[in-house]
Amino acid sequence: MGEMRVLDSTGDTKVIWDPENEDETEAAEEQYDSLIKKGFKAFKVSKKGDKGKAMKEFDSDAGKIIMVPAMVGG
Amino acid sequence: MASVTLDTYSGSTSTTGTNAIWDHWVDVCTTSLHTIDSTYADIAWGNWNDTYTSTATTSTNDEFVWYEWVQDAGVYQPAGRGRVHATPVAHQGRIIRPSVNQPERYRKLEEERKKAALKARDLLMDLIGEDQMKLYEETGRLYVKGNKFDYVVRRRGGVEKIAKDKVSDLCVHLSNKYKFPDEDNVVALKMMLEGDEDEILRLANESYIRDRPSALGRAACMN
Repeated sequence: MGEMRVLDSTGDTKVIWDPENEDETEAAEEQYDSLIKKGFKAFKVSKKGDKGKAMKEFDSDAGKIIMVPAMVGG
Repeated sequence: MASVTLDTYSGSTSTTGTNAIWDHWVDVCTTSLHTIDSTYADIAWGNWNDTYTSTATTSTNDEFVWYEWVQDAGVYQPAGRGRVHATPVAHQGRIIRPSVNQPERYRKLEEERKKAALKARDLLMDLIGEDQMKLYEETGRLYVKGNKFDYVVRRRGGVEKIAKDKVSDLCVHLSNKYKFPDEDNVVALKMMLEGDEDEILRLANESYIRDRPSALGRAACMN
């Protein structure tokens, strides 16, 4: 199952999809694109301990995607 | 920004000699005196009122204002309405207060915050594993290897940049960081430092450059 975790005030919102299911994958990709437009950055991690890798486009087979809201200097 | 102890609230007029309180109010850490420019106005106002409209906005619901001012307290009551006005107690950068006639609404908000904190903790544990999570919870520090430098991300905020022979502090975090649980900020920094290090280095304000100590403090994921 594909998984996308969107960091937010609830901790995170989890979006899951079956890569074999076209409708679910499309819905997940739409959500991904919408978040990117809002300034989120996307990273994929394949398994525990792996470094996060920046994503340039939606990858339905990514494993786990972490969506990070905008960051600012303090 | 590192954990700070806020100055103690002494009454209706309180002074601070540091930027600590101002940083919590406006989300921009500069000096003890700061003028908000349009770049940061929404951040400041958003942290004060939970609803940003413009650089000049009228708060129509002072429950939100009060709650946003005191964050984890959940029990401060606006003064002058026949309710208890509590004296703030400084605690790791956020003002908290024991419950006094805590209304249901604030109790619910506090519950939501605790749930969010647990979820964020679970996500971080998912990324670093149970063993390293124990070490993180013990030390409040997470070691992150970037491509150019290594870093230590602190739970309460702030990042140490570790170069070959120098260490410095980086002030960079999620926008409106107080709306997120601490561990969300840690996860965000971990992802950015690993996957978009140049962007973090571009955004961060760097300060306190010092010689690298012979031994760095303990942190999760160091080895």
